[in-house]
Amino acid sequence: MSRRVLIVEDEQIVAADLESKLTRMGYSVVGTAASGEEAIRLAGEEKPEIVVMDIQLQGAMKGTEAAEQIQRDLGAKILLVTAFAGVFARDPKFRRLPWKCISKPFSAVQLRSALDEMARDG
Amino acid sequence: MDHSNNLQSPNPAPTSSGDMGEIRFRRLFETAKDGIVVVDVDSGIVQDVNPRFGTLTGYAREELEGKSIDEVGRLLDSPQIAAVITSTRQSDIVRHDELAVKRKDQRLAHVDIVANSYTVGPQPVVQLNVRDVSPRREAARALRESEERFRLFVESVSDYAMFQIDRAGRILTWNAGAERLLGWAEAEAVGKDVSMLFVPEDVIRGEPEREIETARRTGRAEDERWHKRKDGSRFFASGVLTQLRDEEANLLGFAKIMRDITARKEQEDQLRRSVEEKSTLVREIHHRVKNNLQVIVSLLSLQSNYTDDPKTLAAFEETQGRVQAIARIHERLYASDDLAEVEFGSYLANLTEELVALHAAADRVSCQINVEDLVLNIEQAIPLGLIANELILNSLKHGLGDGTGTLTVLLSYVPGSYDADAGQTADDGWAQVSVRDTGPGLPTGFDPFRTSSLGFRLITLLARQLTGRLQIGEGPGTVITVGFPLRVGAGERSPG
Repeated sequence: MSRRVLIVEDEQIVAADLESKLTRMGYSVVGTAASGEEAIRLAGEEKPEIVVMDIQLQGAMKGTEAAEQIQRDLGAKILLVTAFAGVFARDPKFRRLPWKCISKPFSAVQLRSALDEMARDG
Repeated sequence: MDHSNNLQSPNPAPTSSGDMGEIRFRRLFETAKDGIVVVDVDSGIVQDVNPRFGTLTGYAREELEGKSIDEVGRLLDSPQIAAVITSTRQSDIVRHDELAVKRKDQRLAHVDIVANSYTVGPQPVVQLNVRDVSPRREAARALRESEERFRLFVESVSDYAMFQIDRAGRILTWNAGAERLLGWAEAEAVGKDVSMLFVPEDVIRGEPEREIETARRTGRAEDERWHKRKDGSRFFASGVLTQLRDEEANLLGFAKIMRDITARKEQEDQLRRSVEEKSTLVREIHHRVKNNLQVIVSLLSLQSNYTDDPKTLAAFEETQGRVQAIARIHERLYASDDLAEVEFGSYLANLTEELVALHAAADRVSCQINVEDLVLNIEQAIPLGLIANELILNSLKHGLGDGTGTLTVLLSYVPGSYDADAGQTADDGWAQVSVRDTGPGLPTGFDPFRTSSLGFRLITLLARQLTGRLQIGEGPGTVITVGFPLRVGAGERSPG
């Protein structure tokens, strides 16, 4: 059975691209949210195993806050997709978290290898 | 200054002793540093005047001896001298300090006089010892004047608050500047605790005491802080508290000099805010550029879903790679301190590793990266990033033939001038990027300027944009080097 993925991205073209790439890789995309609040609601309904999430979203809630809550409540794995993965990677607060992070713009290969790594890490 | 003990009183002994005593007395009398006048009490006639009294008053001994003391008093315009016999009848020793006497030349001299009476044989006499105190008076006057000038100076300074406090922090003095700056008049401020000038939060934190303690311990305490005026308003002040010690190093108190720098602080704060705003804005722009580049990559990716043609798919993929190479420069700019320059060495190393990981089969290509730290502005970093992207991809996809071998990427800085074919020179030195692979090498007669490959076209176009030079090196394998003059400073655009 294919793994269930929730996409959280407010840029609709990027979200569509992510959905297309993930579907081709064999994942089952359970929904697309444009805000942190919507992500939490959708995650509660759809129980994804993986959340692919942008940090800068519509609304007040940051992607990282939504990700923390979804991980805490559902145990979902988090893959952050951000314009500045390097900056994020240097932040000591996030270095402790078991999240993966890739930088925008990303290629299909980068997305796949990050997801593979997450699967290997368990 | 009490010097009555020093004023010489001739020993009355001469009358009753022999010649030796008389001679000794005379010598003392003649050479004394004080003027001496001996007056017969009964007649009031001046009997003896020593040379020093003569020089002091300007009169010759002969002009004074034999005259009555009343007359001498009149000559010297001094009623106290005229009244000396009456005075000594009432008291054993009579003294007058800083008495003004008129010299023969009509100038005033100031003297201390000690008069005492004794007898010479049966004869009662009064002896006046007269000391010139004009030099002392002059020094004291100069000191007073100097102090007065300094007081006036301090009082009249209106741009600086200057005041003194005692060891316990009570205000002792208060100048016009302090009144102007802080609002309290001198009478209101003197005697009050200096903490009234501090803002309440600093008083709670014990800042007034800390400042005094620092000045006591180290000699001075400098600070820049908010202070409070009489009307409760605040101003930002730069101040120095300096300890005051006497000659024996006893702490007398402290002097404070304070200046209002609110306007300067506001300017600085505004400047800092402006710089922060600009920096935030530039970061925001880099962020948006990267997001937009992601949208472009996603559009290309979505578009490529609509074709199965391998050549078209490859073209889409290559274009996405080029956009990524640009985006990585923006990511580094965003993370740099000045938001305008990137360290290209680490960018190139990173790009190489990423491209090898994406395009080479695992363990089939070994990679040698040798890069120097080289800071480039965005004008040069983006074309060079794209050139490196093309060179590395060329080697990985075509140069290495069967996809095995070694890829070598070099970045070096060359100091001195650059002699490109166009005759370009660069005072800031120049840089070169070199990509080598261990494949079969370029076809014989390959001309990068005439090839139909987009990759090579891009490389030649971008090398021209850098006013650089493209060189195909000697094999084995393919070696391509791009050298170009460095342009220091952001925003400079290369011609061509």
